[in-house]
Amino acid sequence: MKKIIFLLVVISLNAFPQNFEIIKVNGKAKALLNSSESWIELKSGSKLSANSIIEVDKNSSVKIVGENVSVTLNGSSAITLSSLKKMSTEELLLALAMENILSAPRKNKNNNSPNTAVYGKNDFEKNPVVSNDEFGLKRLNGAKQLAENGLKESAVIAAKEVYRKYPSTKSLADYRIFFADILYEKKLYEEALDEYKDIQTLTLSEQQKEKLSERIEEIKKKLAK
Amino acid sequence: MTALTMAQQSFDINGLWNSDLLINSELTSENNFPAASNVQDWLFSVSYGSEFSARTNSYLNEISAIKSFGNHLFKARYSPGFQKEFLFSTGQSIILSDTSSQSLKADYVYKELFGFGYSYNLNEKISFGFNLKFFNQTFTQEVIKPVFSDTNYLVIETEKDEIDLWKADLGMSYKFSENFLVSFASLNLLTSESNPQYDYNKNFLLNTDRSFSFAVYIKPLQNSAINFIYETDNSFAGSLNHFFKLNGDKIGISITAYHDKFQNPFINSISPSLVYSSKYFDVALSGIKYFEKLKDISSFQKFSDNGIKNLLHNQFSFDRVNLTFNFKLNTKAEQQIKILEAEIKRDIFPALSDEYLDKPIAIAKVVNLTEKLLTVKPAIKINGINKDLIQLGNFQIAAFDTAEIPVYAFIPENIQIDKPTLSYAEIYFFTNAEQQEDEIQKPILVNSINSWDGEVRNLRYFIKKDLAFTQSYAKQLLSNSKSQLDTLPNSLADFYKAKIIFNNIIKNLTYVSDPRIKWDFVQYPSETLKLKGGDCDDLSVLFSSLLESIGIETALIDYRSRNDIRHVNVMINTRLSPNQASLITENDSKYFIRKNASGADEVWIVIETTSLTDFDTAWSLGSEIFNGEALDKMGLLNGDVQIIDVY
Repeated sequence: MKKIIFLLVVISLNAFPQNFEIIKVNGKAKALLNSSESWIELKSGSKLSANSIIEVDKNSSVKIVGENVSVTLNGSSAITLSSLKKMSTEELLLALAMENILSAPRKNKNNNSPNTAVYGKNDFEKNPVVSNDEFGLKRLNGAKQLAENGLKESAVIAAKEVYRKYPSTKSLADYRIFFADILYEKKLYEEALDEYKDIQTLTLSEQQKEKLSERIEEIKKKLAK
Repeated sequence: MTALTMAQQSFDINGLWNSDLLINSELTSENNFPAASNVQDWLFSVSYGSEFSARTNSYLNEISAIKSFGNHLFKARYSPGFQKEFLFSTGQSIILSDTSSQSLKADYVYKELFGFGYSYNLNEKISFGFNLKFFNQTFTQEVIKPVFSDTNYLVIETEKDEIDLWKADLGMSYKFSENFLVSFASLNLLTSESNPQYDYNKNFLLNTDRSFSFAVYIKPLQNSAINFIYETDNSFAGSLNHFFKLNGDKIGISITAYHDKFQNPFINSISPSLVYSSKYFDVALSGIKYFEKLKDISSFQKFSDNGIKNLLHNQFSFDRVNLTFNFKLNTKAEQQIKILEAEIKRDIFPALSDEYLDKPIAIAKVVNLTEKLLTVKPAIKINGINKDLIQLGNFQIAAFDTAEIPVYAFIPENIQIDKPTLSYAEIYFFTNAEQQEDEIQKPILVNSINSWDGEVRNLRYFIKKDLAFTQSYAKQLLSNSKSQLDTLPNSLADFYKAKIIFNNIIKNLTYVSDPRIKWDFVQYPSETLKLKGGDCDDLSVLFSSLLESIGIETALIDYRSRNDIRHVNVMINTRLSPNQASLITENDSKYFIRKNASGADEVWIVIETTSLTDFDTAWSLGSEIFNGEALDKMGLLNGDVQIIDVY
């Protein structure tokens, strides 16, 4: 058993070497430490590992400092601390490539037949949906605030993760355009074009439609050169 | 007297040929070490010659037979035409009573009558051979002898000597490549000779001084050859051969030039030759033209001083033509394909049986010896694994082409091998006509049934093998928790089944660290339960097998980055949608979204199977490792982390 504990400690230390400190809390904020299921209230001076998630309530703010990074999160936002990192455009491209791997459908296989035994009540709660859209929105706000704090590349990756885990947030066109604009700004035109085209399929305002059309044309011209 | 040496290698009645260019045949009659011969079965040969001296003589040069038995080749020949006669006046004469005179004569006849040869191909490159030849020397001389009686008078008598000689020589050849061969041979290595009856004949006996020859055969082009042979007495011969294809047959031309220090000029003769070579017979027409004239009459002094070096090719030889017929009797089917080499690509891990149907166990380099496209079928029998030959796949090889053909093995599913063994694989190649063409044997390591090649994706085979057992075991565990499961919504069933099974099996399990860095031993699920423990791969195999047996999808996560110490976790498909994830956790860093084949998002969780405290702890640890290694460090992108679906 000692060996297991040693191994796991080594693994954990290797995986999350970075620590963060809460400098200031205005209002109310809480955190899930590592893989915990229980929220704890955040106070100034709290030290957190990179795998922790923090959530900031409405009208509240938290200042977090990590290695070479300092971020202030404002109200109604949530973020995993491992997202607080500076990335280069090349690193962003690599991270986007990994997103594509994660998003690729698995290959069709000769599936073994699922268990036919039926457990559970029949009519009630056969397939409940307990969508946590509110937390998803906070996550998206958190990603946006990363960008506003200068961590634009990390913000794009954080947003991608939110879209995967909270699919309903993908329909929020304003946020989608915000993150697509970062790709455009970073001159990742092909990636931005794919994103703008995907956003065009959402319900958009006339102003949004116009902006998207202009951007798409602009990118096509740039790519044609 | 510098007397005769034996028939030398550097002369042949058909010139100097590279036998590789002929079809299942050879044209060298002198060389009894046919190391480079491509005779496949029987070859019968007969040769006639005509000599253009003062009067033209035609005679049978030789008849011979060659037989090949696998790597052995035998040759026997009878050569009545290999002879040379010298008839001289001794310088003495007798005056007869009618005042006429009669000169006394001396006759020297040298014959090579029989030859026997044998060669053995040690391998593709090296051949050894020896030959045995029988010579007869008949010397007759007229002498005057007085007869003493009432009246003394002189009579002419003939004194005849018959001397037999046997000689044996050794040779070897080395084939550096298909286009380059060298050979060495002794001359007069061992000899045995009877004594002449008359001492004065000793000076005329065949000389048996030892010497040595070296030959090079080069094929710069597929149908051309350059050949050169050198003997230690400074004689040599060189030739050029070229063949033209003719509807599957061949027509060859050759020119050979000879140098002999006892003959003039420096290149004393040339030998043009023309051959038609087909599947069943060859016809060769050859000749030799000497540049020195006036050979019909020579003095006894010249013969006595210089002698001759070769029965057929000497300063007293005349221009000649030869006609040779080869008859090929092939009782064996003609070999169409040949295995040049075979390389074993992987050891046998009996547990990974299906793997060998997709990945070749060996690659064989095979040459098509024919001029047509051939379909070949590789087959293999691994000693200790297969009782019969296993034939998998057809491949095509273009005419005269060489191809690398994959050879696939079949490993029976229920084979039981308890310990690793060094065995051997017999690799065969067949043609479409189901005719076995060639075979080769290669050593191969057959591991035990628990051996594993270290590839995490191949743990699938250990997971699947015990499925009947694990299904029964898993159902038993779940039936004990039926009341708990009955209260759950269907969508949560897979998650809780996984949790119940994990929490039950860990009660009796202990993690046992594998002391070896190289992972080479994996327990089957039933063995892990019986032994009550295992390392991370054993525990992952057990957990995955139990879940898969009841229809819960799993994947193995292969962590490769940690200082060569690899690690395995199990990933479980909860079949929850992302919108349902909060049913199992508040913490969205503990699950991961994967799309199924239809493109629908499903929630997967990672379990650290060596954490035997409880399911939740194992889940938390699994998530942390995956978040760190696969996502934050981008292990999924750089190959340090792989997700391997079990099915």
